[in-house]
Amino acid sequence: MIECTNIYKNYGAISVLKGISLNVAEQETFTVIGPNGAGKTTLFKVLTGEIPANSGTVTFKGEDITRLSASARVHRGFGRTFQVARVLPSNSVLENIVIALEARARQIERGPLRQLRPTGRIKDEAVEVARRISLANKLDVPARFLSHGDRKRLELGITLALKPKILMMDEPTAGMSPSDRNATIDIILHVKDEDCLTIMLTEHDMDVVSQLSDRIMVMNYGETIAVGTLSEIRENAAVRDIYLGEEIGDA
Amino acid sequence: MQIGFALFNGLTVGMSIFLVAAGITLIFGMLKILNIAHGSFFMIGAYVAYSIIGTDPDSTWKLVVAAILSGLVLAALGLLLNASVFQRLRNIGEAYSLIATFALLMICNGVTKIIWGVNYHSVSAPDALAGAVMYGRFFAPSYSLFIIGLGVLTFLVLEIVVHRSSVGKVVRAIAHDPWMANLVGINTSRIYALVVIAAFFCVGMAGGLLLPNQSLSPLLFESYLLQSFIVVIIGGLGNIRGAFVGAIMLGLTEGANFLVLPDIPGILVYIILIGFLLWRPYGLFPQPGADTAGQAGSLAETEDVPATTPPKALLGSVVATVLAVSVLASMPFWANAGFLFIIGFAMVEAVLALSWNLLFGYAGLTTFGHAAFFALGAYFVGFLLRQETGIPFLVLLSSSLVLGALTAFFVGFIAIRRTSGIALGILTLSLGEILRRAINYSPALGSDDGLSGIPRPRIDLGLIVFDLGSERAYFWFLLAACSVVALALWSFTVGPKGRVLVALRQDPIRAEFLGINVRRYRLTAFVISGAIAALAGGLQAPWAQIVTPEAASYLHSTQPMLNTLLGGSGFFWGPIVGSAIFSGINYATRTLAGLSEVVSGGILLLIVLAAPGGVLGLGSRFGRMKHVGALHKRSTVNELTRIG
Repeated sequence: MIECTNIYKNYGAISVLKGISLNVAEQETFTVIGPNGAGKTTLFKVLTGEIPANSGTVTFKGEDITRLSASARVHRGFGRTFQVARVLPSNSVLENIVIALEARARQIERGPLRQLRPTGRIKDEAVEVARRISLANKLDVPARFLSHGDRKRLELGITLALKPKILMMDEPTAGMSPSDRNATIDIILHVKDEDCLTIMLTEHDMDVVSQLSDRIMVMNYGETIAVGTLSEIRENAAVRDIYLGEEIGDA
Repeated sequence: MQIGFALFNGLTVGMSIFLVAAGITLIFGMLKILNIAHGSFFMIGAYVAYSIIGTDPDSTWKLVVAAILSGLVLAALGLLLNASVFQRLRNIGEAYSLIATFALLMICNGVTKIIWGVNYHSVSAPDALAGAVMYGRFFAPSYSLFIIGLGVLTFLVLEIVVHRSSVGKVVRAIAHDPWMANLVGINTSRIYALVVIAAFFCVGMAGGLLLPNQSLSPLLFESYLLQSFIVVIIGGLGNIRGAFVGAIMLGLTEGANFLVLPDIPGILVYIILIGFLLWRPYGLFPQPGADTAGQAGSLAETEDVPATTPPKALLGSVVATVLAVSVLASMPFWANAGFLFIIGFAMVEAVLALSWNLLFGYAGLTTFGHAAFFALGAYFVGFLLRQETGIPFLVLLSSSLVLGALTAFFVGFIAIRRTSGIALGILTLSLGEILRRAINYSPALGSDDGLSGIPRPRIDLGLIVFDLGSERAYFWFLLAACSVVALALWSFTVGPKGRVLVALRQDPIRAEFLGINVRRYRLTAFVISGAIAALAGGLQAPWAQIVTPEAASYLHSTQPMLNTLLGGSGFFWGPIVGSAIFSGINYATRTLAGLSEVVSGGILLLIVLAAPGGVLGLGSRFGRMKHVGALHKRSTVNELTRIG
């Protein structure tokens, strides 16, 4: 589904990615883990088109997308969520979703959206999305007043509204309480199933990693240490070395 | 020989600008506030020194002592302003702090006019500095040498203090990360105050010492303002070394301008600046955190974004609009000619401000050169009307719309691709200045005097002919045209495209990941905005019947900003309310030179500090207090229907 080869990226003199290659299969959940500063987020930025790589190629369903902008990649089926949720703070929950739905409608129906108000269909769809992420009771609340967990869910909601084929999630449970975290895992498993999604995520919490992942890639200092299933990763000596055997052993 | 002379002159210019730029750099480096008012503080410093020594200082020492005294006066002023204004500006958005310092500029200029009058004074150099130093065939005025020496000395002192002393270490630490510095126990507020005082002392002293360098008038603030900005930008905002190098570069460019383009002084600097901004938008020595454009929502930090859907109860809005338009339409019957004239201007300014707020409030772009589009349209229509070409007026207006759109497309295509935040602001400001200077030196466009005696047109629609020759007829036409433009713009902003713009203003990265091509939509907003600004200019030319280069000046560019912020940038109608209030203030204070600036500036400063949502923001805040109470009682199902 998504594939990258030999990605190099440096910020000034500091090289952050040193020849990363990976290949995620259709409907797979692929998790990137690694200590802080390993380059996970940078890898995500390169794959989603937020920043350009210095060298290397990214392909999506066989198409070379290395030079495409982020919005063009979204048109091809990328959905992206961030470590710190990015939602439109001054707009209400419903408006956030409506704006996403309209952005998608703009891509598929070439004709411009003619009427000033959102169409009835889009409004219905938006309410449906809100129900999926259990925010149907907060439709009118401006996003800046939402709790951290709600905001993360709203971000997932507006991303799902785009009907993506691949979901790129940077630490979907960062900073969540245990109960929020479990709820999020449930939602992710659920939507993956319903929408037949391919998912790529980064995560620190090994509980989450083990529950969601089909395959795991371990990064350290911009390099790939190991790729494999959870048990393969667990057995890997180099990985144990990085994590001092603690977290991986517990999982 | 001539080259040597130009070089030497250039250095003198560069160093005198550095003396002002140093203060701007210090304040920006520390507080991240680009102090537009610094040129005015320089002017006040000059006036204070002038009050002490008069026009003929008899010794160099007297000049120096007067300069130090005026430095002290300014330092005290700095202390005061730091506590009352700058401290508060640190926590609000970039655009708002820029506008607040602009308000300070207005207040300073107004106060200067009230205290010292509007006459020109010239101060001669003391005898010891009046001569020249001969060196072979080359001679240099000693006063110029004095300035160069002063510039180098200032640079060395600042350099040593900032980079070699223990105080400097603390200062740099705070500049880099004020939050962390606070955590490790540095009293950041005290250091901030210290830096502001130092910067004000420098500028006051520079004002005194440079007294003999130029004539003294309330326009003095201008001569250093833009140039010291350029220096600060080239240097990489907030870097003393950068400012020094930038000042030398600017001086040499001025020198080269004198050799290459003697007919259009000062234009080369802007051309080079634009090239420079496109090449390195963050300057020679980029400072960490100097450009905040990447941070979501850092530019326009009102609580509210403009409404993105038409209000549910349209009837109320329709009634209010019809009422407002009918009151305006009845004015020619009861208002006196002077008042009517001002109302006409206010309507055009309102349209200009609406077009500016499309960029600021909707697309999240802060530009400082909007008047350039206005002037483009005004000169285009004014020039062709005077030629009596016989082109129908409506065709002229449409052409000005197209002209503005095309220009905006070319400018925006490059500018939006390469710059954002402060760099975009300065880039647009420079383009405006280039246009103003180009007009100033074009005899075909009337140079400084502009085009006067522009005839008012007739509109021939075949069946009916409207003669707009009378004041009354043109006023009605103006009202109709402005209303149509405002309505068209409004329906654009409450539709799907408006929702896209509001999304990308709040968070461009999120918008991009919604599949919104941020650059394309920004360019669209830029083109529409430029087109409407040009149209506003085209509408105004026959109303005022005169167009001057002032139409393109940066002072005029700030008018739409002031109107927008005063009314409330978070509301589509905010700019119109703001224009109305400002025109009222101008009308009420028109008799005393300087008073209107003080009042307008004061109100603006108050708005930015106390009510960044503008007048309408204040209103809606009270409205919401009631609304929140009601919300709790309502069941959630009912709320669904309210979204519209």
